Amino acid sequence: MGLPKKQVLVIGGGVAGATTALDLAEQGVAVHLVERDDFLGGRAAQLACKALDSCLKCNGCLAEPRLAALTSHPLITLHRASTVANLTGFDGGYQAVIDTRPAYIDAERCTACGLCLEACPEVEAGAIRAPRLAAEAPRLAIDETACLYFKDGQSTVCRDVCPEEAIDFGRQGDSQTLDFAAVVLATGFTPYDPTPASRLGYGLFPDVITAMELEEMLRTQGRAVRPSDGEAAGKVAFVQCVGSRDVNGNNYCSRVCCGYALRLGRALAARQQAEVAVFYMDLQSFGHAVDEFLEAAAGELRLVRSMPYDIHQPPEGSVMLDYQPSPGAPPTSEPFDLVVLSVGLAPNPDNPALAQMAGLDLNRHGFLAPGKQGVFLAGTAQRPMDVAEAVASAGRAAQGALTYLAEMQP
Amino acid sequence: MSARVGVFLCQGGRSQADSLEFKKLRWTAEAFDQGRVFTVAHTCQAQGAAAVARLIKEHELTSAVVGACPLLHNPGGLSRALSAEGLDPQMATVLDLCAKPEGEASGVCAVAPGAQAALSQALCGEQFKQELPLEDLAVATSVLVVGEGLPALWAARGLLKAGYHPVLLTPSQRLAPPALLLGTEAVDEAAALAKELEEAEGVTLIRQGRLLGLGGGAGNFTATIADRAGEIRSLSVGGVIVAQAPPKALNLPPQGLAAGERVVSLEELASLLQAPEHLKKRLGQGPYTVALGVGLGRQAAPLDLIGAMNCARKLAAGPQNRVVLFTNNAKVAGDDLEALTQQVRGEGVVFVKFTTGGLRGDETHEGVELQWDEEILGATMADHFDLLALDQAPAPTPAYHELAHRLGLSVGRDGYLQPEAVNALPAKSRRAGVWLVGPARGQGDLERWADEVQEALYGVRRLLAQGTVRVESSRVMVDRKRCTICLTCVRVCPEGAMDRLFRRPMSNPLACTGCGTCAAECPMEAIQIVGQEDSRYSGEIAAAAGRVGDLGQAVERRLLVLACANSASPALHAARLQGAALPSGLRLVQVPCAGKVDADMVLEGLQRGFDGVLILSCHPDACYSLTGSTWANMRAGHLGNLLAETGLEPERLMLSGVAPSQSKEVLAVIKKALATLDQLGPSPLKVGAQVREVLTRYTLDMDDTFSIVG
Ligand SMILES: Cc1cc2nc3c(=O)[nH]c(=O)nc-3n(C[C@H](O)[C@H](O)[C@H](O)COP(=O)(O)OP(=O)(O)OC[C@H]3O[C@@H](n4cnc5c(N)ncnc54)[C@H](O)[C@@H]3O)c2cc1C
Ligand code: SF4
Ligand code: SF4
Repeated sequence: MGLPKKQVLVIGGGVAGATTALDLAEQGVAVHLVERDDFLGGRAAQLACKALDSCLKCNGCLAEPRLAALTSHPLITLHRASTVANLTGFDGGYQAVIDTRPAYIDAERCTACGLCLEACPEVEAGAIRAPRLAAEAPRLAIDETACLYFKDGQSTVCRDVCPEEAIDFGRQGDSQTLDFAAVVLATGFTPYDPTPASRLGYGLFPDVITAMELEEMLRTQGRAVRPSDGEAAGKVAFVQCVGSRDVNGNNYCSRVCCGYALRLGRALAARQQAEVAVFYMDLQSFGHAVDEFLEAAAGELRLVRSMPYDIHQPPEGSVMLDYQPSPGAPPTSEPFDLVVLSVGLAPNPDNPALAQMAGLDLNRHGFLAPGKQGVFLAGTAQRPMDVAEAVASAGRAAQGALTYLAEMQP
Repeated sequence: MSARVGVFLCQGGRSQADSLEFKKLRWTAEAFDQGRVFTVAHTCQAQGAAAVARLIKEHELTSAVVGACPLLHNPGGLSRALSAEGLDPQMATVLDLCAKPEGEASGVCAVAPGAQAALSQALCGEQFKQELPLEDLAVATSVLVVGEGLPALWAARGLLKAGYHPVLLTPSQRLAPPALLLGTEAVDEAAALAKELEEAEGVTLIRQGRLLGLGGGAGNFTATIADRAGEIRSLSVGGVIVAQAPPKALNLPPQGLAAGERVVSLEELASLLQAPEHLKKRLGQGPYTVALGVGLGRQAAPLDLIGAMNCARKLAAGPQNRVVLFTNNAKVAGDDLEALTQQVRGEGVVFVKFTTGGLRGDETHEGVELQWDEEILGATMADHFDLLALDQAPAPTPAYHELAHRLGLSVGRDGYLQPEAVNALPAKSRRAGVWLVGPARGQGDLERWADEVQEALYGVRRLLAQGTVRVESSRVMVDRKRCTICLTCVRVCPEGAMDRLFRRPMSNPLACTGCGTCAAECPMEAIQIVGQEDSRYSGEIAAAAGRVGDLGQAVERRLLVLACANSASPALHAARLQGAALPSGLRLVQVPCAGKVDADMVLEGLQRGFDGVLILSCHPDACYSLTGSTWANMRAGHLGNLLAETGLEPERLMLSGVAPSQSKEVLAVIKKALATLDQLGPSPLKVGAQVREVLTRYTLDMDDTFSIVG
């Protein structure tokens, strides 16, 4: 049995897709990786390290080397800003139509000097985006949905200011049709969006943010600040189970939120002497040395078993959390500098379309369920998991695909 | 083929090529007699990178040093261009020699301060690059699987399917899943799988076996096994997958209760429920009131809750039975467990959750009398139950400790075999070629365990291929004349890569990651890593130090940063790409792992006139070579004491952990280190360095000079 030579399509360039692609490429299989976003990395590239003096084992840094290696492996062809428009099965394989959006900023020319970022009036809205990973080669990208040019057809400040003449709004997208022996779906999850649940005050009050935003803030700025005034947050509340364990919504536990919230809380307590309270129903941490971990967390944080029933922020004031401190006790209202909503892992909205295209079913929560021959699943596309679990599931997808290719080959 | 090194200097987007600083760089490059110098432009853009790759190909260079800006450092840039030319994408060393002049617009580049030193440092490192011959190693294609539960069976079947020969070693007589899962599909699956494996050809099944030893290393282990009859055999196995759960004991609440007839494990209850006549024998005719406890002592896992739910549902199905489930944190973090708990509640099972309080009670021959504080009602409750069934927590026995020891591993504080290091996730152990999966690693659920098993199978595939693997011969050279066989290297190697062959240490190229921890720890300095020799680092540090300055001249304070290639280097790279400038007075020397940093490197730095040394490692427990950073920490502490003894401030040696994503923090750490040096003032050793420098100007070789002077 020789090394399988056929090529594999991996959809999704998060840590799960990256690991699957690398595992396959290490075994000599050519891989095409299709990433919807302009940049690789998925959510794991947004996570902050939560180490105190010693690592807190958030698993965040498991993603880093894998994502970096992805950008330079000779057997992996990357299709950023791309989606699979069509996937048709045929005898022993799949034919995929890969659509790539136009790259208005020429990655071959851009030197990431940042002049366009300075000039763009819509940069806050994400009109020009920069990658999260240092290892990313296309350095900047224009987002059509936020860029003014695509609304008025005449805002071209970035193009005019670019000294490398790297920006061209006239560029066209691209579409290729390629054949694959197997397909891996690693299309990930979507963080729960708390906007519709107005009770939580997200989007209404500036100092209520999601944990994803806090992760990113810590990663890029190194500390947690209050969005309303930019001051370091001294008193922080985490509200657990936002978008999880909800009979009327996502009726499942997202598995990672207790772990990340307690770690983020401990990091804030240690690094910026923040006073941290965590509002929870059940602490879900399990796995490795949990008793020790929870004991340490209980020593450093205030763990409150109660879900706040209202969050509000008066103008000029701090966010107030209304909650019942213990069963039977009268409700209280407590001010916090920053309220962090520990949002859960919701299914990727693309899942129905992906499932249909790849001939898979959805499970009852809307995640992808395994099924079809030659189609493999990796990472949080299937169910909530942390980074280490996503890596393991990628190993499983790669192992499955390699076995499948070997069996297919005469 | 002799080395042909190309030195490429980027003259920047526009301008600067004529500057004196750039010329100095060129002269430094030209003084290097093993190379050719090229000036290129626009290496920050794809065309520049492509030009470098083209020139490398055209001139048949074997290696390249490219002095450019961090943009080219991007693996996507130059390495892709090299691949496109059919060259080794890793062949070029890219140096960050560029600084954007303060206040200048884009596209204007300048030579960074310290660039010359950095270039000669890299050229020094270049002389140590060495390609080692590839060898074809024969490896064993049998794989030992230790365990008897579902994950072990999955592993054995997976191995069989992938063409390997599984040797399944089960501690007990039966191939059986935990009874806890009774009534679920997993049980049927396990039964079918056990049958399949018992009948399959190509599986060696050793029931009630005991592992007496595991010698050798990844690819070629020798497992010594005693079977049920006490017969001892030696098997050659390429890898080992351990899926054996630690022995468990009742997870008792802190107060008052002990295991007995009426206080049993959930597993025992599950098997009682399986055979109703046994239940009747134990508890009488019924109806029954049963209390279930999950996680009342130590924290439980989703799998325990699933077990409790299965028991609860079976009991609740009996018309007049009453079931109460006591827990503190309901671990519902598993597929559909939340929905399952809701359903079970709907079926009449009462849930009592504790935040601070717990369960107290006594066992009587009629059952158990339990008391608890009901948090919602604020009252103390008491009730009689016919039976109390609890989950179980690891209680490693001496036999389990021995198994761990024989495998070359150890039992962790939580009773499982998983090492502390985060980089051992998801399936690695502290010994290359030995994987830990499922219940041997820690708490989990079946989905996670299934993934871990497959991850391990992928590892086996990578390690053993089809029985021969092509690898570079070992980079670790043990000097037989120096080695006293103290076996320090065997003990410290994070991967268990040091084998004892004829009692002498020898590194196994299938396991060694080249971290250099062994070389740094060897008390006899008997170990050198090819390409990472001690002389390379002393050379690099000397080059990095550059000129200290004339005697009596005030010299800027300087910090030597010994940066781990896995964590600190990417963090610094990211910081540079985000546009941050490195503070002045800083010199970087990259090491493969902080575990490689030894006393000599630190002392060399201080002697060369650096005011202080900062070792940047991974955070302890987050080391990419598992324990390299732990060793570095211990060594730095020790070395600090030694410095203090010599009268030098121990604060001149600093160590900090950073993660690769911490681009902000890494700069903060460096700034803090510089501030410390500012406070301490110039190192007293600096004058010595200046004297040395003056003396070397008089053509005498430095060491000769010292022997003359000294
Ligand atoms: C607030 C928060 C904090 C967390 N903290 C931690 C932590 O501390 N530790 C930890 O271990 N885990 C943490 N996690 C979980 C972690 O983020 C995930 O385990 C991990 O990101 C999963 O990786 P993935 O590759 O499966 O999915 P993703 O990261 O979602 O990646 C999926 C990729 O696929 C792409 N994609 C999606 N749809 C398509 C499509 N149709 N076509 C092409 N590409 C597509 C996406 O753009 C994305 O790049 C946290 C999660 C959240 C929400
Ligand atoms: S806390 Fe997380 S990111 Fe930081 S070192 Fe540990 S595992 Fe890595
Ligand atoms: S270099 Fe590291 S991995 Fe290799 S033998 Fe030495 S200590 Fe072990």
